[in-house]
Amino acid sequence: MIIRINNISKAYGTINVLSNISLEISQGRFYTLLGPNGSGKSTLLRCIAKVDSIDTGSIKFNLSDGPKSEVNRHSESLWPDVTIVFQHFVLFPHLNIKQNILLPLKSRYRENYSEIFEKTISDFQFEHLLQKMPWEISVGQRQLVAIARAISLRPRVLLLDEISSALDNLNAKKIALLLKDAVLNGTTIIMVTHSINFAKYCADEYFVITDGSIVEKNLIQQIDNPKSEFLKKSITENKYLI
Amino acid sequence: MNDFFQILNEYQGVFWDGFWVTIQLCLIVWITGISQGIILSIIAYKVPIPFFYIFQLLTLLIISVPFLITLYWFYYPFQALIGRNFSPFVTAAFTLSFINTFLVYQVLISSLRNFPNQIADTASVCGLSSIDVLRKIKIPIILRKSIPGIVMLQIFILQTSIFSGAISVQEIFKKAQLINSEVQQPVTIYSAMAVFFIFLCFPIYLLSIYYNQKYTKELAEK
Ligand SMILES: Nc1ncnc2c1ncn2[C@@H]1O[C@H](COP(=O)(O)OP(=O)(O)OP(=O)(O)O)[C@@H](O)[C@H]1O
Ligand SMILES: [Mg+2]
Repeated sequence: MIIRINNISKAYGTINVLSNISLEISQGRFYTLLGPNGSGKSTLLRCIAKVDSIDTGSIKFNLSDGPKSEVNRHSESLWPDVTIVFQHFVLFPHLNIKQNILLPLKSRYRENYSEIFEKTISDFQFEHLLQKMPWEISVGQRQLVAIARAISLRPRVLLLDEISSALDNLNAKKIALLLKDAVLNGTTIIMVTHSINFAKYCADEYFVITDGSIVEKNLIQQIDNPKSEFLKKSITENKYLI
Repeated sequence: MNDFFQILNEYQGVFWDGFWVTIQLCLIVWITGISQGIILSIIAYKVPIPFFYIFQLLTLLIISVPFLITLYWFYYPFQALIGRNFSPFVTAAFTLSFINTFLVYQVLISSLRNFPNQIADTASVCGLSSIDVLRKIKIPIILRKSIPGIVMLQIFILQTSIFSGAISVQEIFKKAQLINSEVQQPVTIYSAMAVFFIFLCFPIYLLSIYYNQKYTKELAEK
């Protein structure tokens, strides 16, 4: 067990965004989080990443076992052992693509960052983007860079918020393979997506969240026999147009 | 044209004196105003919200009063009130810095308050220490957003400095008026003044426009 989420709740004002969520996340598994717009997916990921606070409950990490790399640690910080790729504003707008990837890498790995950098660039085929500024590349390319940057940090837990929304099929497949590769190397992934096909292709298990509660969780092979209203409608009535 | 160079030549020393006073005044006001503006905006950013509103209200009140009125107020009533006398130059420098401080504050506080937190969050979750987030992400972005506006304000301050002639600071415009009262050549003299300010301001405007275009693009991702 790498993350134990125990009965957490969060409210914005009087609105409960997350209510009594408990989950157990195993190391080296690929989870996907499904649910309608506004159901609390991003909020849950942000809480797990400790970017947002929770009102009640607890989130415990067990990062002590499993593979260890030679890395700089800033005090007690979880980051970037636990890291997240956000839905928006993913790159540093004042740095070019090369610096966007290198800056966090240098801070994590003092010595062998250039090897990892080179590998990342060739894995993602970014050679032609390096000198460009974020505003000079497309939305999908920005998302690719953000994913590459996160993977290059070799996090123990990688949280992904709708990263596939702007990717074409080929890139989505490429990313899926790179993510699966990371999972094989011990990374644990929780990914929010609206694409059931993408989820099926990547994930081992899925959760469904509606109105801030987990209403269904299962192995991905079972996703065609859904229990929750949301998934039933999504799959059987083919509500997923994308 | 002949008149022009003749006057310029004859009153060279006087023009230089005025130019020197204007430059001194502006340098003092630029440096103190910008540094105080930075400090004030950091304070206003750190204090609890109610205090921040007090800062905002104060700023609006201060920049609502026309410069000449503030200048006269600091020159006469204020000095009478505290029972001390300051030279016109010191008074003008003080007043201009005072206003520059609040103008710079206004620009900076809006970039600070509107800073997209998600960018700072992204930097943190990528493992940058909080010092690095500040040094390598927040400050560079905030500077890029604010520099064009602040540069424009410094031109405004330069131009406003000619009002300090009203309390007999011997700046360049005051000198020009003095010369004019002797030679009675307003067309020549005021044209010379216009050219002088164009020479001074034009490069700064270009710089500001350059930065503005460059950085608006860079920050367009938002
Ligand atoms: N900063 C905030 N302040 C107030 N309410 C918020 C805030 N952030 C999110 N919410 C509310 O929390 C609820 C869940 O938002 P969240 O972003 O987690 O949804 P989501 O499942 O990620 O949706 P989407 O699929 O559209 O991205 C929404 O109803 C939203 O209005
Ligand atoms: Mg979301």
